[in-house]
Amino acid sequence: MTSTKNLWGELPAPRELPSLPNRILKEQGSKLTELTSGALIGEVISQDQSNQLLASTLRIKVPSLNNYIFNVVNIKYGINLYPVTVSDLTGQSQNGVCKTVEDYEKKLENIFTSPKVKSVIQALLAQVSEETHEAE
Amino acid sequence: MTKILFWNVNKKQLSQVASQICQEYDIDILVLAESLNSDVSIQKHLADKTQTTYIAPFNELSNRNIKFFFRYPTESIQPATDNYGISIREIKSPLAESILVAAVHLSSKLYADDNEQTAQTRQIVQSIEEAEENAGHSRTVVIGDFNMNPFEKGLVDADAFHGVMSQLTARKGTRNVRSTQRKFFYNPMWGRMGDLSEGPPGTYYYQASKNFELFWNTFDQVLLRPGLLNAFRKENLKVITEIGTNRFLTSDRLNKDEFSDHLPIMIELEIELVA
Repeated sequence: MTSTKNLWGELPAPRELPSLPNRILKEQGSKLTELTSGALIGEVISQDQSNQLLASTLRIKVPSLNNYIFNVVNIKYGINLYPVTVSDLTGQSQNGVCKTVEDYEKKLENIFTSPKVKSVIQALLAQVSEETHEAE
Repeated sequence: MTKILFWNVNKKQLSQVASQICQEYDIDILVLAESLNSDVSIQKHLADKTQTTYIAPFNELSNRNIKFFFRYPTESIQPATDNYGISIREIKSPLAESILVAAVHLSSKLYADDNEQTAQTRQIVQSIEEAEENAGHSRTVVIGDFNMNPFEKGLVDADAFHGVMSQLTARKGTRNVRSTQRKFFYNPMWGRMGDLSEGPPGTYYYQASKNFELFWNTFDQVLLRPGLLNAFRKENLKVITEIGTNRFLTSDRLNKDEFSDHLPIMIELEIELVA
């Protein structure tokens, strides 16, 4: 039996990838869910995107408010993961292009801790609390 | 009757004038875009003019300075979705079927090209369809400043608003495009473009030194799902050009020095939501 000739040469070892932008977003969504004991759900949905870009949106879903949805941030990135284009869906900051994980996490932190997002979370938690009291 | 007024006030102090329109036309739902006035000051002007109370729940959730004011009880209003450029509220009624009111303020052509505007529109339509699925019905009215004309891709494409000019077409409900059922909107603003239409030639005037220039644009529009068409009569759609002694037009364009660079629009639907 003749062995097949290797025309591929020596294959490169898998490149060490930086943290996936989508995974970071999902982790932050789960963190919000955990911090609010499930009153607010941090949910990440993937979206169809042309030009070979992947896109995801992090949004806050409120089960006790008939699944009300507040969209927080949208990300788009290519096969190389970075740079990531971050769109602030609350309209409070300009879209940003983040070249590194650190830039990306900083941008997300700026959006999540903005006065707008804080006031939305506060308002939603108040609504949830009121709904809960009415139901009791 | 349910009457909805939309006005992009272009960051001007126009809440008194908007309140005057609410009084004159007996408006139930006021929607403002680019309003810098506080909710409280607008509510005060509304109360002074109309002698009724308008509530402003959930405005802290919306963006792009979209504000809703309702002449309904608090328990009738439920927030459905807020996304960049769109806020959707459900009006629940003990007397009639609930409706979804979506207010939009899409990105300006100054900051977004056609492709960007169309991409934004697709996301917005996804939000609408999700809200409809969640609400369990498609009785949706979309009103606002689309920053696109009725004939542009974001308004016409099947995977965007899918807004058509004919009620007969819209009443078919959906259309199959490459194996996907796409819901229709009816866009009556197709009939409000140019000199031969009722009212002014458009709702927004812009002139630049470009080869292609429309001058008048119909950026402010209202779209209806087929489920609301029986509640609509064409005479119940108005582009408002004056109120009292306030004239929103000069001899050939908008009087944007005194008022907004957009005209207010109003629609009346023949449904009684709240007694």
